[in-house]
Amino acid sequence: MSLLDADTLRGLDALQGALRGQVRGQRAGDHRSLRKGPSVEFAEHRPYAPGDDLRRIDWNAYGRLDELVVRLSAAEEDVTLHLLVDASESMATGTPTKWHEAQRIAAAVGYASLTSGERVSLTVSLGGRTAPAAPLRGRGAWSRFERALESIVPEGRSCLDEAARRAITGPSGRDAAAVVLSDALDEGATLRCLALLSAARHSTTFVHLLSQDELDPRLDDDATLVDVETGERLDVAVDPGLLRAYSAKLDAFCREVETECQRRGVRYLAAFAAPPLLTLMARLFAAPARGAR
Amino acid sequence: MNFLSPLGLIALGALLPLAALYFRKRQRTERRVSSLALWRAVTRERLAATGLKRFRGDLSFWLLAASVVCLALALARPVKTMALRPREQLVLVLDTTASMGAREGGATRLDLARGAALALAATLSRDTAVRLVSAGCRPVWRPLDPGDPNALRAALAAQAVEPCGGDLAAALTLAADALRDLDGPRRVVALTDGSTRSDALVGAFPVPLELVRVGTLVPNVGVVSLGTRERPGPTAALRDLDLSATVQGVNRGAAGEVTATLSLRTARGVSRLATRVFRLATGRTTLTFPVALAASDDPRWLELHLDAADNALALDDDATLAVPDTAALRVRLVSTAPEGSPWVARALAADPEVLLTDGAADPRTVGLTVYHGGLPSRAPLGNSLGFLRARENPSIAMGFALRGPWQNPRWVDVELSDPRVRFVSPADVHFASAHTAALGPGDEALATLDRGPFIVARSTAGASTTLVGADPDASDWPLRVSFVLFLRDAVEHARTRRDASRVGLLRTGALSRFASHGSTEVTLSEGAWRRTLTHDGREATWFVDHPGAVTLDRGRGPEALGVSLLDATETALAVADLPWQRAVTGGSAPTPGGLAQRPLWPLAAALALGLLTLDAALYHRLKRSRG
Repeated sequence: MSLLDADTLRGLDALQGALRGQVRGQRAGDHRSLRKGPSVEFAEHRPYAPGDDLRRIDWNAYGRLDELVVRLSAAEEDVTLHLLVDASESMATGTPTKWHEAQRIAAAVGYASLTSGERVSLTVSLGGRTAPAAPLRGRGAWSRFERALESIVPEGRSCLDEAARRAITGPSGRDAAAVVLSDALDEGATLRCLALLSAARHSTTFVHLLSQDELDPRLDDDATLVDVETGERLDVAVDPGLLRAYSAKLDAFCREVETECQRRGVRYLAAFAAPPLLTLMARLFAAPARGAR
Repeated sequence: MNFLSPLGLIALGALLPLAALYFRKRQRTERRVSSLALWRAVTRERLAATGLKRFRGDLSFWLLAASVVCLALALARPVKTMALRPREQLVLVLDTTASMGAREGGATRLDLARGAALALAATLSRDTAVRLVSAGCRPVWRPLDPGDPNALRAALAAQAVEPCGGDLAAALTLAADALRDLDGPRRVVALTDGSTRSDALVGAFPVPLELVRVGTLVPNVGVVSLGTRERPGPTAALRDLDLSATVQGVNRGAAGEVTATLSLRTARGVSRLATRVFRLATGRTTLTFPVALAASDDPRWLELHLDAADNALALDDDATLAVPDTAALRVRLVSTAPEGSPWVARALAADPEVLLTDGAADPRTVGLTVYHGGLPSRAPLGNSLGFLRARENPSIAMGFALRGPWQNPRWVDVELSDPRVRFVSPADVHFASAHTAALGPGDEALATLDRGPFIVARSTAGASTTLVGADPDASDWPLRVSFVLFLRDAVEHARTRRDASRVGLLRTGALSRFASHGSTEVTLSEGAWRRTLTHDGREATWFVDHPGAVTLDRGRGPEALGVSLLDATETALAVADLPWQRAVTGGSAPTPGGLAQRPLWPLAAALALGLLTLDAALYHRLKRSRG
């Protein structure tokens, strides 16, 4: 059974237009990116900074303004999308599981990117390690991409920060696009991942996944909570106060993650309790609306 | 802490199913969560904020467990035994002797003592433990109901004057002994008119003692003791008994010297043996004067009477004392011969250890009765020796069946091993006629004629009877030495059995000892005492409560029996003090240590109920908050 049915794929095709020009790449591709770069179509000037290519200095403007400026143009680039997916065991919780939701979102993003001619690099974090897959390009790679996603079984702990480190040091280099899928319940690994991507000037979007069970835990009696990743146990005496405190703590956590994303220039996209996929993708492809849930 | 129903602790077994339910409940459901980070932060904050509420999950169990424990304790009925250490222990000794009946201003001294006791009780704290001892003829505990505030008043009102002098010292000793093992402040308060003997005790009393004197000290003169001793002098066959009587009088009054008259006479005697007028100073005075008792007097005991003006207490004005026995044996000679029995009398008078009296003497006061003719048909009381007269021909005499008379009898045998006839020689003695006796069981034949036994003897536990079936006046026996020796041996035989014949000499106020041959019958037939006590040789003690007390116990020797009599009117002359322990009647002494038990089970039951209620309230609140 495929991750995305035919209706979903058609819906994604319809969203392709919205995706164009909103991610940038290093090489000239077939879609327009928001990133300003050295291209034929002039966009604007900016002050010269050490390290800029001298060939991009607009000498005419220097003559008029007596100031070194660099020409910036709307880039026609070859875009690489880094898809970093948290496949730790915590993603296997919830009904449906967060991992299932992450698979579908990753599949949708990958499908959209592949059909747009972008190169898609899938990196999965699971079992305390990373499992990078070979970059894929073109619509024909969709089935391979989908199989790769389906074959993954969550396990162990997350190390998204390590996955990010691989992404920014790989062949795609700097200034790529990245989409990170995680529940961020990994003792800061996700936030470190986002920090690395941001430092590498990647256009990053963080899709925050939380299950309905995490948003509203149904605990009627005293229970022993078991951490699926560490096996640690915690006895709790359940009462409404505890549940209220938990909800407040969860809200604070989500706000903290969102705030961190804003501070790092990362788009924050909440995917709580399995929202409709196309709606989520529409928000993802739309103009940046940070903090939107 | 003690438990009145320890089986109630079995209820503690309910803890087991309770604990099982608790631990089963503690088996929580497991929930897998993505991360404990948020939960741990939440619980950490809540622990810091709620303090003891964190134990709420266990609180219900512990409340139920504690309530079960309290319930089990309540069922076991715990009591706490406490020593009444802080309580003051007070014993009121109320003098109820006869002098307390003296009236002063319309009220008796006992009334004044009651008032003083109630006034004292009004000043005591409520937790003071008050006990009452009445010091009358004997000290007696008077039980007081501790829960009745009027118990002391009622007990005081129930006390009455007893017709005896009493001994306050015994009552004080009783009170001191009862307080000996009690803790806390102890005190004895004696309410008395001060006429009883307690001065010697007050100085060395083991607990604080307060003497509350009631009434006015007026002259109280009495006899403390009366004693006699035989005056030394030459002995004679028929003589008077010369005694020195020693009298101790006492004046407990505050009026200084009192003039008193002492009159001494024999019991039942009309004439006074001696009368002395003297002055009794405060305290004791000893007076000695001679007393001459004629042989014809009844010298068994002396009676002393003291007479003094304004004497407050007359109970101790009389004293009686048995006259001590002398070494000489009193022998009573009874003869039907017109001219008497000169041979017999002469032979008896030859013995210097014989006091010869005539037939008028009380047979119970003599050691031997010698009959010459006129023999009673039954064995007389005490030791006796009988001679038949020639003209008398009884068929039975002194309990022996007689045969004869036999003319010119001939001796054939003498029991020389018997001390009474050891010097009798038949060859020298001739009788004109004689009777023989038929021997019964236990009878002895001391001498035998050719017709049969004619000197026979019979011994009982109390007396010895010897019968001679011939008249010494109608023989040549008085001319022989053996006749004198026969009478002397008969006297000696009676002397050895004298104590056994003194059963009738018991008298109140005197201590008598006599041999006890396995079984001794003591008959007290004088005055108001008519009681027969049988002593079978075992250790035994008798009390006769009315009108006096009789103590009968073994003496020093294995066969000695001592008898001591105390008369109600002669208590001041008690020859043997009653041990106070024997005087404890009519109530129990206080519990040593003054222990009290406080029930704790109501507290435990209330605690169990409170814990259950608290648990129910917590459960209700929890359900409401969850629901």
